[in-house]
Amino acid sequence: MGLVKNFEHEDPFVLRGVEVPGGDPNLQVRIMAEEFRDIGTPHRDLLRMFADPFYAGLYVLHAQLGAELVENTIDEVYRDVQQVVREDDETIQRSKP
Amino acid sequence: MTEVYNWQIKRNMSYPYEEKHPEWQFAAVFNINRCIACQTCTMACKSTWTFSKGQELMWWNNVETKPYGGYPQFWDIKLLKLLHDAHERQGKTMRWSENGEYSGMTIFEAAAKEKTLNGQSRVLGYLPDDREWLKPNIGEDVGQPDKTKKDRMGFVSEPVRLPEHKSFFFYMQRLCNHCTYPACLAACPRKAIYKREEDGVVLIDQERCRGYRKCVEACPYKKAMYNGQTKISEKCIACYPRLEGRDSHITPDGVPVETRCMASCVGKIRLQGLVQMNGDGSWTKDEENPLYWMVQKEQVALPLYPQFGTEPNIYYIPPRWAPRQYLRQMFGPGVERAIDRYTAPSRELMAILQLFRAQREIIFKFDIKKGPQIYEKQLTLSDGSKKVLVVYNDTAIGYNKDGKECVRVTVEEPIYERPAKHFNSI
Repeated sequence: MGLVKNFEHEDPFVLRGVEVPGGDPNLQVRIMAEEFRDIGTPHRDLLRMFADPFYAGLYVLHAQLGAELVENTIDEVYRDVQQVVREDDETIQRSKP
Repeated sequence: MTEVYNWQIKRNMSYPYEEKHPEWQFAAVFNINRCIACQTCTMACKSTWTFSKGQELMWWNNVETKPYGGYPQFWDIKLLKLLHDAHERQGKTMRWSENGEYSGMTIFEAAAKEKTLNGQSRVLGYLPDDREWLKPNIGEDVGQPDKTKKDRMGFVSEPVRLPEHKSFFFYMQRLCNHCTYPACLAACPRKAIYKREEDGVVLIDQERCRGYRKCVEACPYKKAMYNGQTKISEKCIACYPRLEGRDSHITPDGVPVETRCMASCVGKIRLQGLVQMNGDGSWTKDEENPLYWMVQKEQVALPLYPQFGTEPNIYYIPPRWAPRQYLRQMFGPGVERAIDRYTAPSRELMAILQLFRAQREIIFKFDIKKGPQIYEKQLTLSDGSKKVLVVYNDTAIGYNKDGKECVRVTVEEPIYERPAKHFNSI
């Protein structure tokens, strides 16, 4: 459930609950997953991190969008790198979900 | 006021002092996309430089959550509003032309016809209220965990169920920009602030300073701070003993090493260095310097609020997911190009990205040993379209000031997992 307050000119510097327009949480999840994938985070670890309140930035997206959507996006992102060119490298195996 | 050339806004601008540039300039690139706001940089700086009496609320390095957070609170919103209002009063507009030239006024130009609260000033600015320095993390717009529910390791496990609004956010790492045209230096009535010839580091002479706080008022990034105990102002010193290679414990060979905040970055989002300057303020062409490659050659890293006119020397790779309009206001007109070049990096850029925080000696030169093609991956570009990128396992090699190899990393780094029996055993 969203809580949206309007920006008030007589209270211009308190932005609690005020949405800054724009942005796409779905895209944010996808890009964050891509970044973590690219620095070598294993697929199962990333799933865990999104669901863990300890990682507040990831968790807030997980809470907003729901576990299913986040997991599907992560699966998709890891599937993207499955097109392996060199088969004999164990690091490639790591990229697979 | 004299005329100086500011390459970030692609035009001459007014500045109180004549143009004079150091031989080398302290500079850094931060990759916002990879920051997790762990605040290790913040604490590394705090525990090194600002742990004394009078410095309790002083954070030379901080990481804030945009668009809500700020230290001091709302620093950029306030400055943008001041600049906007000055344009309205003077019948001008803040605009970037298609060729990247800024036609609005900088904070120096706007101040020429503006009276600040404290009287006529050389720089448009404001003095933050004491309360605005109190809470460096206020405005972090993330889910707050319920601290009463903990798992068997003692970590909180359940979040508080509060209504949350959907919005983008990203983490912004901030420290003094050691600007080419520092506003703090321009505003100081005592001429107590100077820019070092050897590395462009901006320092406050603690003997000359009398604590008038004009630097605190003038710095648009609010990185000059007042110490109520000593009654003088202080700021980031770019860990200059490290830049000079004078700490024999860290660098027995005497080569320059990265600052504390850079060297402690666990997210590997920072790369700091020194770039050679020409007499006219432009960077000496040096495509072997990783910072030159990112900032000048590929323009993948952009200055923060270039419209302020101070020519800051910390550059950011913008977050790929944030609204472009917001990012354009923050980093200028090159945002789309920078994001797309980062999203689909060249082989050189891919290799340079591996050098981020790979070791602590400053890299003056990089080289690439080409490796085999390892995989293809699908990318999402800024307009939402897809692109397939071929990735190679190239080796990036970094050299220190003496030309000695100091780091060698591959695009695909090996991962070692600690066995379960050693979990948390350090």
